[in-house]
Amino acid sequence: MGLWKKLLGNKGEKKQEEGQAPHKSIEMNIKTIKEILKDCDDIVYREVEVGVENNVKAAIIYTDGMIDRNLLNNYILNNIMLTVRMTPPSPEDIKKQIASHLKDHSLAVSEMKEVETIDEGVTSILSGDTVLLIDNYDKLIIVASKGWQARGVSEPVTEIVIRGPRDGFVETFRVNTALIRRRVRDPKLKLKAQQVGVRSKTDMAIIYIEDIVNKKILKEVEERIKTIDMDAILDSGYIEQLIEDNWLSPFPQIQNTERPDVAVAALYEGRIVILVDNSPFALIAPTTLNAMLQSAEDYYERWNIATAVRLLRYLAAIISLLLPSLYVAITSFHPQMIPTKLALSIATTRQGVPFPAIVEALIMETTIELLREAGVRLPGPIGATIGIVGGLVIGQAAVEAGIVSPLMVIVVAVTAISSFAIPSYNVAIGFRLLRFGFIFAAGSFGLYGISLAKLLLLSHLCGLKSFGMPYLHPFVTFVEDIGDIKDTVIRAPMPSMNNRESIANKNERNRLDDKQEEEKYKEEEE
Amino acid sequence: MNKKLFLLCILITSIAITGCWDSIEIDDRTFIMALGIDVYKPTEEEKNIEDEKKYLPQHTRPPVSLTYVASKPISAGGEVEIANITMSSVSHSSFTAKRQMISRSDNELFLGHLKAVVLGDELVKNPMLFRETMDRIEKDPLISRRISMAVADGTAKEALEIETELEKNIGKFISSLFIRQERSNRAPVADAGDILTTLHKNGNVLIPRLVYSDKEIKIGGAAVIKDYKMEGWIGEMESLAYMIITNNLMTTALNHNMDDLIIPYTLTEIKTNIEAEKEGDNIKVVLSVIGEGDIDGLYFNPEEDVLDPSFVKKVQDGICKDIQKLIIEAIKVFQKDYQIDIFQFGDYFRKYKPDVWRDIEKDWEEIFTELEVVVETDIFMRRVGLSR
Amino acid sequence: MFSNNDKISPSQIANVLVLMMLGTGILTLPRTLTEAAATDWWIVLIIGGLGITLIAIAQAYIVKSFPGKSYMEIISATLSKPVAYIYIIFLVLFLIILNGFLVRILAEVVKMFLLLATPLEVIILSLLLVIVYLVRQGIEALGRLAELLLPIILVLSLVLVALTIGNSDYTNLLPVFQISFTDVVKALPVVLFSFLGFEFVLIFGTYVNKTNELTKYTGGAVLVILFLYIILNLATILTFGTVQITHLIWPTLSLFKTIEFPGLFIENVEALVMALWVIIVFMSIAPVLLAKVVLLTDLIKGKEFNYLALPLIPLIYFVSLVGDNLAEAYMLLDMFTLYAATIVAFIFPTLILIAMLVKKKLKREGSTSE
Repeated sequence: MGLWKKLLGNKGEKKQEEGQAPHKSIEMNIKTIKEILKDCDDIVYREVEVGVENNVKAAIIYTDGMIDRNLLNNYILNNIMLTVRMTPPSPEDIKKQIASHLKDHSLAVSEMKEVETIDEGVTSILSGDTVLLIDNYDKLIIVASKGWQARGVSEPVTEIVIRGPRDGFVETFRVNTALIRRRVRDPKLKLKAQQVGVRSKTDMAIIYIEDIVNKKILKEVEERIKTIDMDAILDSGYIEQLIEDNWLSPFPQIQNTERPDVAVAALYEGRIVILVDNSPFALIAPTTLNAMLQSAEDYYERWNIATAVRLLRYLAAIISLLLPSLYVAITSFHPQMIPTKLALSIATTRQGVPFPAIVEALIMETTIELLREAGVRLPGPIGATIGIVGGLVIGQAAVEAGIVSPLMVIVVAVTAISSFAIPSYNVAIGFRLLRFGFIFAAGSFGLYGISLAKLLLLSHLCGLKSFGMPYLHPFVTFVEDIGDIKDTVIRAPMPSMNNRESIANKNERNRLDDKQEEEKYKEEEE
Repeated sequence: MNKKLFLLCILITSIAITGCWDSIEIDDRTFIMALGIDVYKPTEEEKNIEDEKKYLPQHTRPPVSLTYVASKPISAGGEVEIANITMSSVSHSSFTAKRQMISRSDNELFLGHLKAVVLGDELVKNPMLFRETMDRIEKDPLISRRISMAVADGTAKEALEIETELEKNIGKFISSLFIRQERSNRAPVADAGDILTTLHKNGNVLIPRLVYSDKEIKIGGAAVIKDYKMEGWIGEMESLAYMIITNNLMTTALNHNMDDLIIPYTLTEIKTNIEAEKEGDNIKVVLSVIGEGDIDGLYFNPEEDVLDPSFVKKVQDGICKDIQKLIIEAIKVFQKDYQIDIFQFGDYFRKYKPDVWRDIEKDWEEIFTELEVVVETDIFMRRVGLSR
Repeated sequence: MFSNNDKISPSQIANVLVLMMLGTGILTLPRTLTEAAATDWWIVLIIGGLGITLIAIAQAYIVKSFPGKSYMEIISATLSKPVAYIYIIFLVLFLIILNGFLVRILAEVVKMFLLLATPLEVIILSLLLVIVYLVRQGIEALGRLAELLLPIILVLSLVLVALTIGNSDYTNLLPVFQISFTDVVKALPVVLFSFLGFEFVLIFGTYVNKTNELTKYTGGAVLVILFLYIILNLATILTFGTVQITHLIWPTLSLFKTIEFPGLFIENVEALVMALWVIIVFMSIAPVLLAKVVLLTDLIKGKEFNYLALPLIPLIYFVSLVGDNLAEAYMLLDMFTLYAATIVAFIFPTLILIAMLVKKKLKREGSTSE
């Protein structure tokens, strides 16, 4: 397992210089480890005597609850204590090289390695591996025995699709990498694992397909991850915020997903996926606003339907950003824009409302945000109830009390629904936040204010980059990357999507490599 | 980064603390649906108010009186109703009248939904007042170019104060009258934009006439404006002819008298082509009118067979003559009575025969009155209804 | 943070140029052009447009010959250093004044159509602040924004123009070929000035990554504008006729006032058109400010130009308030473009081109004689 070496290689090498080398005597080693792990009562020390005459001392140290006991009992303890005596060669030989014999012949475990410092051993213990100490042997044998109670692979909660795979990432790093590997049986798929967090030592991996990925972006990602200096990484959200380009922006510059199929699709496009242990959310970089407005299902449904849905989604994004501000601008500044009948009916419904339209909009928008936040925090069934109660009852009551006009309630409701139609939750939050800015702009300058706010937003978005990639790609490089338009507001038919987006390495743009091979085949047949 | 933050702060505060100058809530606006403009004629009582007199500057021009018809939602005992309010104000200029009106209204008077402007005939007879009014309409960014315009046969104030039984909202009523005009065509259909465009050319235009009685309003005929001054009225038939010549007629229903019969028919399509020739000094305009329509009815169990081609042809020929006569009469009215080239024959020369136009441009007004106009009509009756 | 805000693609600069030209000409061109050439406007427009295409290509060729060099370096290389310093200072002043006028006209139109009671100063300042934000994002953001906005603007304007077809009278185009050659020559300046903005290729050319494609794209940009102007003029003249256009201060805006959407949610589109128009003019003002900042950075040999954007704002603000009323502002702008813009857009670049060609020739002769 090359991965193992890499995993500990990166950080391990550094420690080797500082770390304390194990002592020859097993007692000393156990003492040292006990010292380091003082008051850690979840560490189990099991001392045994092995060898033909039971005269070699050995010890097994592990963290309770993080290991696979079955494996420990049947294949480690059993082998050390019993099998080792029954196997040839002669007991005399074993006596001398009991350590190497154990290592090479007895332990029937798939993954094992040796480390030369106590610190590394401790890290392994805390990661769920088992450390085997043998008397008169100055290395620590580490047996991979991770196994703990974990949530099974289940359907992702945030990205639900009607059609498509139902499996989602879980909190266990290894399960997640397996979910990805299952979809890419290509030796070019690279998983570079490392640990981040000075204290938490969280496993994480940078995953990419070597020949498709853009080397520049990969280097950038690696460099940025190196700069992370944090005591603990509890979720991929930490990493996202530590390595993104512009932390002032309300827009996420790294996409996250719970779906392995989305992550893998990103890999095939030449993007980089970052997996972090203890987080079911994989990070995808670089990303674009366009990618955030796509759903996995778009590729599983037929292209014309997917295109229609995408158009609807872009419309939803615009509505969720602009509708309340347009309402404010039109009612308080430019009533000449709407038909006379509508203007009169709005005026009629607003009769008796004591607040200006902007205050009305702010009240209702704040209320709906409160409802939404409350609905998320409350347990499942109650959360749904609060939505209905809030939406219907408060809206109705507010209208009857004459605080807001009925049209405002409709506007707010449509806006809220639209913002739910945006697939990425974090983009939707950004839009929700900006909506208030737009309402203020509309309340001060009407449509002119909205125009300025739009320009401000677009200026920001155009300046924004995700790992060197323009955030609004491909709309901002329309002429150069005209091919990328195939997968934006529209979703071109599958056979015509034969080129990768321009994120990918230039030499690997063609997706249908086998096409040429097929043609060769045909020629041969003929 | 700090600088960016700073900039953002400035921007947000500047937006938050400034602004709102133009913000007027929609329920605080009074939507003016129709505007009537008259020459002000003080009543005897008003004349005697000395206080008023000293505010009115002495001027050679009479003041104008503006009548606003506004729609405004008014809550009466919980129920909100849209009320129609008529207000009048006197001013020396139609530009300032609105300002005066505001001082008498709790709301902002809003012209963005203006549907119709009605001018009193007295006003239209005064070129300066008329031009001033038209300028006001063209300059105002809120007033649409698509509003309807009419000249009231009487005063605009009286016309706008009528409560029609069909529709309480008089402004909307007038503008819908115009929209329906496209189907009956008793007055030249023109919105303010068209009238302005035509006026810019040479100051001659036709503005639809608005006739009113106690309970009703009707659009029919037109006021003839020559050099920004109203010269007189034309009737409905002349208007119809004008519409046919200028290719604005969509559809119309007419009667044809054949022998003892009255045959009603509908023209569904009619098109006029203008050709002009100049042979020596003789200038001739040929109008060829091509159209088609349906015979609407005859009488019960007729002796004539409406499916007999010769009968249909007879009717057709009669109708052709009718239309021809209609057009020739109308042209004569403008050639002889008003002496204005309302049909834009001059424009035709300018566009298609620029060489000829250069010669005749100066004397065009005279040439027009003597112009030889030939009308050729070719109208087909396509359908005859369900029975024969 | 990781920023390399220095390269844009030739297509992006073409988009910037298109928007710059559009912002200057779109409002008044139908009026001035009809005044000058009546129904034969299209002859003048096409001749002028094609002429500008050639001039623009020539200027792009200058940039192409000095890949990666800034405008100041180009002048220094061709016309000596002192000239460069003097000219750049002149150019910066020119741009400040131009910026001021553009901002003023935008603000006046906004005030007229959208915000009747809001003080002009507030309209101007809020606009300038947004522009500063964009300029501080650098040329890359500007290029991207232009490329993002242009297709949207093109599609929307064509839709709006298509909606006016209902009111059009095709005979308004007649008579044709009435114009004499001298009239064409007299009317040409009107067209030339409505294309102003293309000369910024000299200033922004240094940031283009594929310089060898620059001439193609610059020429294309002018042709796109020519096409747009033809469409817009056509629509305006079809609707109003040559006579009424001369009475309208902003015929293009009046054109959109005639659009009607009966029964739709939006009845009057003019406020919407204004919102669109604000975006167009914004995109013609922002590059001017950026150009100034870029030139000043060259002049003082600074490295980062971001911080120069904000201090220029008060200057532009005061220039924008010169002229007591709209008429005076327009008169000053006309005078200003007539003299200063001629130098900036036509005369000086020609001098550079001549100097460049002469130097090239001398060099070649020098090398052959040796």
